[in-house]
Amino acid sequence: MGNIGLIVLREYRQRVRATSFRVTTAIGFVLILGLAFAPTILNSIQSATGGGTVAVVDPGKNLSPTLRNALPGKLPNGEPQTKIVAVQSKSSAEKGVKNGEYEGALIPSSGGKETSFVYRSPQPGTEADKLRGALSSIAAEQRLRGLGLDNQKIAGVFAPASLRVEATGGAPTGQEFQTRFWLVYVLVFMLYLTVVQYGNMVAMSVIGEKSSRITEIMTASVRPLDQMTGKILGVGLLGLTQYAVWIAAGLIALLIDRLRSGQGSDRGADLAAVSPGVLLLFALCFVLGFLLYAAMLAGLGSLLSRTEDAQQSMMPVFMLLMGGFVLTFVAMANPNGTPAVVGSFIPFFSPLVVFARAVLGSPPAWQVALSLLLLSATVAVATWAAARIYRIGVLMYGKRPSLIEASRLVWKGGN
Amino acid sequence: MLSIEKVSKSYAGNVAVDDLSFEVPEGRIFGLLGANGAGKTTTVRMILDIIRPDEGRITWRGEPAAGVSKKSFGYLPEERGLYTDMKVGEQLVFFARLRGLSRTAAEKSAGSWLERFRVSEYRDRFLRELSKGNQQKIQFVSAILHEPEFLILDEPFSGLDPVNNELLKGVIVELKERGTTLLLSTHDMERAEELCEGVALIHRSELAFAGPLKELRRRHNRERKLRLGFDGDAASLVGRFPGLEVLDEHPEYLELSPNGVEPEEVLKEAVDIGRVRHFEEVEPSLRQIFIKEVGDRG
Repeated sequence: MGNIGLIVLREYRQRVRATSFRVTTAIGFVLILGLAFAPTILNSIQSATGGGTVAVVDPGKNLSPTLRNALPGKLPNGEPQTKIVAVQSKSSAEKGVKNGEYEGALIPSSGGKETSFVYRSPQPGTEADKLRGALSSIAAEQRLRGLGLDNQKIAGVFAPASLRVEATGGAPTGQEFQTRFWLVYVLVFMLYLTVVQYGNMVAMSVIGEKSSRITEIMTASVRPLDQMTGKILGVGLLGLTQYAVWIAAGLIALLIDRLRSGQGSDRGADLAAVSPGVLLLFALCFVLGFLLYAAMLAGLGSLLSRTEDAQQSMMPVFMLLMGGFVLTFVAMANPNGTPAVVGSFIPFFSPLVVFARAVLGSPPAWQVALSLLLLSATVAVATWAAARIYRIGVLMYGKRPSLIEASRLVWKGGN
Repeated sequence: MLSIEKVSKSYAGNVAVDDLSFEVPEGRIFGLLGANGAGKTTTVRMILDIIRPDEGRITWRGEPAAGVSKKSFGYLPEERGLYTDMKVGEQLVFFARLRGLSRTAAEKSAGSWLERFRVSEYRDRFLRELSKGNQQKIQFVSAILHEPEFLILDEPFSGLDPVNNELLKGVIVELKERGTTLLLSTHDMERAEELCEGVALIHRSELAFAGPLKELRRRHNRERKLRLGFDGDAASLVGRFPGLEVLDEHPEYLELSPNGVEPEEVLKEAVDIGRVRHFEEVEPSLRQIFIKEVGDRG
């Protein structure tokens, strides 16, 4: 085995054994697996808490059936969202509201040509809005009937206008866009977090070896470029391991979900948005993004001697990544807009932006390819520059070098 | 033979090593001596290709040392450092494999050296659990596990108790007898005097002397002293030799500086005029030579 291989293996083994890694990976696994049950859990929570009961003072039971029809919203368990109960008198309705049996009381009050209503409730909020909508359409129907229209004509008046939505290009539409939006939201977040976490791990590893003076003996045995490469690959492999575990959890969750809800259900179709192509692009964006930031942070880390200095010095690098993160949200809102297009050609932002754009929008294939190509080239340049700094940096102790001194190291190779 | 030819190195305008040349003969223990900051560590790092010289060249058996140092050289740095979160055995095997040993050879070699240093029971312990002295031993083992042709020890004795000091000295001599060439970088003159056959003396980035220890001594012949235990008229004895100087009047003996006077002449005269209880010619210690060399050069 070559020296890089030995360093990769050591780095990987030490870290994969660490309790912190095992715990976070396991928590992620459980959470993702839990997603399979999330719809069920959410449904039962909604069924238990989502409904409301409104008492209608309706001794003749004329209004309540119409009102029920005008409030078609159903809970996941099939119960109506707003339950209408006809009561005999205003006082019994108000008593029910007081003791919590009803959310509110709807009281008709005569006067004028039409019946008007009062809705009394401690928290009128959403129920009031629904009732207003329902009563308005009932009233409109009655007015039309009063004008002499028959039921068929009334139905014609209320029929929705025809609008067909057509997407030009390959961008997802409607429901699919919604699903993908949330998927991208979650994945971009993960991408950002893992690049920060594992990039940070590389920097800390470099600084740690420097402060424990291992670099001296390492540099006598192994070329600095090999040391750095080994470190970056070892930590990167750790990141991929974590993703592999999480993806396994995701696949199990998907399987459970399919088995529970049966083929062709809505949710099954939703999760199909996690196609192999999306996963592949995600992996590519993680690997390239990680390599870029890890190289920058390894070079930077080699200039520092104490972990205490690290966070402050690494801040500008992480700001760059954060910039990409923010730009990605802009790109998600408008995947084919100028910020999204420009962002996918700036290598420091592109790992996040191009992923969001490709999944949510309809970029030409050449743009995605060019973006990844630019990113790869930047990774190569960053690694080269980092190696030049690393070679000298790991043997430098004491004062933290300025940006100008660091650039001189890159330029002249120092030594 | 390790050959250092006209090697210079500066850091940002500060000269660390200036036009340094010396040779380390094979199969010997060679001392690289100098005060703190003289340029020893820079020299060692250049031999190991950790840093590159600005000028000059370093060769091992005629080949550029940079090409062979990673596999054929061993190194115990002055600033010790190993992975504290790794087990002793694992760590030794890791470093030996980096130096080109196979896993099995590394395991075997680690076992026997741990035994030699009486620390085999720590093989499966994390390094951080070991005492400082034992960590030091592990570091030494990691430097020699791959059986280097050329071994550089930077202050190997610092921080060791007397028992382990002797143990380490024994191992160093044993390695030499097996044919290893050793470079001992130190400012511990007593230890260097005990072990080294040749020395290079660096003072303020420049070479002050390089060659066999005997030759260095010869250069300082004039600093030899005489110790004379004498019953009789000492003042009259000293008076007969212009140049002879009393350095110290010890209760048991006089310490004299000959200053060109032949010791035999002094002894003859002393026997003639009194009784001689003790007569000894004392060579200057390496420490005294060192201080003299360094002092003369300012």
